[in-house]
Amino acid sequence: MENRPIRVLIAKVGLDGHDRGAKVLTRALRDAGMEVIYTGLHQTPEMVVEAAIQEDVDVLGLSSLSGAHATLFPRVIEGLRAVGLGDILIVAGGVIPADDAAELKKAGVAAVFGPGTSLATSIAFIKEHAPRNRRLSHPGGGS
Amino acid sequence: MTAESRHDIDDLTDRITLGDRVALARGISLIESGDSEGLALSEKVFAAGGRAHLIGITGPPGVGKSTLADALVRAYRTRDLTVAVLAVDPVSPRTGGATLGDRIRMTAASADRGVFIRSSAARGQHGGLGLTTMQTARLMDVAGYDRVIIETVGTGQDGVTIGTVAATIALVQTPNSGDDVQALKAGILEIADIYVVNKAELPGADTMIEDLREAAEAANLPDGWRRPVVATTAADGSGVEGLVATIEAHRAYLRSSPEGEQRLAGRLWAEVQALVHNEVRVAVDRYMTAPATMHAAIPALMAGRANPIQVARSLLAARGWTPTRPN
Repeated sequence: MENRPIRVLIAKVGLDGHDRGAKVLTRALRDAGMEVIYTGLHQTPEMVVEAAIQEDVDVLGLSSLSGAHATLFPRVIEGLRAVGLGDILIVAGGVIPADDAAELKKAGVAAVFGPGTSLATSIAFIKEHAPRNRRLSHPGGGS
Repeated sequence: MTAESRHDIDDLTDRITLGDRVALARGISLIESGDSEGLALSEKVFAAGGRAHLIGITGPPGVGKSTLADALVRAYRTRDLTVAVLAVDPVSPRTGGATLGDRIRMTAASADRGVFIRSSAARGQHGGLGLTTMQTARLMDVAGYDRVIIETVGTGQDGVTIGTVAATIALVQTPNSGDDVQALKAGILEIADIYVVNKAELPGADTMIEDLREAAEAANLPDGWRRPVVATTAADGSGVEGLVATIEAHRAYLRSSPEGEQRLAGRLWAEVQALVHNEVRVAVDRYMTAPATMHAAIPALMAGRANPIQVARSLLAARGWTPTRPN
């Protein structure tokens, strides 16, 4: 599936009502040639896992400005691993303190794009690390 | 295709038919990729299809198609029917990227295993619908969803329209769509089976309903389906039960009338045509963009030694094509 563009799900987890940053990133990734699915606000971890399954994304961008990241992001990651989708590249954005960022990286978040991260940096990271040789026919099988 | 990938396709097919959502999602990606494996998968599952009712929701941007699809999903779920939604969005011709935002309005799916929603970029399918749409809808059918809703702004390549993808077509307008009914894209009124006026709480709804009733009269055949006009407010669900009942009535009509068979034949033939066109297009594109072809012809064109019509004729002749309009 080399011809397929990178597919990205941008999800807002938790209760905060601010998605300007998420929308800006959505547009930037689209302009970089990716297919970007945006979930809208107030997603639960279960909803995000379900959307990632159905949309078969390569990359999941999680955003939270409400401090919910520490508990909610790991639940998303666990949910994806439980259905065998642990190979999805997970990046996080929003307001995430440095200590929490370190914890999230241990939990499986590949990168944390804090405030001030340039769009170019985020795009370059995703292009470099998005899984491109995902198993076509055994999604969720075994791994 | 290797023996290994053939085995993988068999395995994926089994899992899709058993209702494995992860497998269905990956299968759709395979189809979207346009690879030979996607084609192999479509071929493999074909015999297991034909059970779901395919519903097309079409209309201009902003009329509330996604919200309506979400409301339909909820209504079908209360009837204990499972639903898959395929939301088709355009691709930027410049970057190849796409923003797929229909999910924002589709919240019914979030935690319900009886619902599957897929956002699809209409890649390489000029304007919207094409082979990918047909084959994705079939995969959803094979996965066991009772109803498959295809949501799209419009038409596609090679004469593929919503009418060649779905069995029941609902055309959605709003009181302030900005379009006169008379100004609607030619043919869409005839293709649609049900006219929906969404956001029917807005002023002007009565006029729109009246206009669509007249259009329905004009489009109806003497002995065929009588196109109804249904008013909805998808945002709060009003009228949606009525729309579901109308869709189901149309489904029953198709099952009891020769039109159902005729339209199925039309859809299958449209798929064959799209497959043939795709192959031909790839071959032609390869031929036309080959440096040898271009280097031979362009200098002659630029020097005025040949005109585009002569060049086209000789390129076709070199490939054994005879003109369809001899002169």
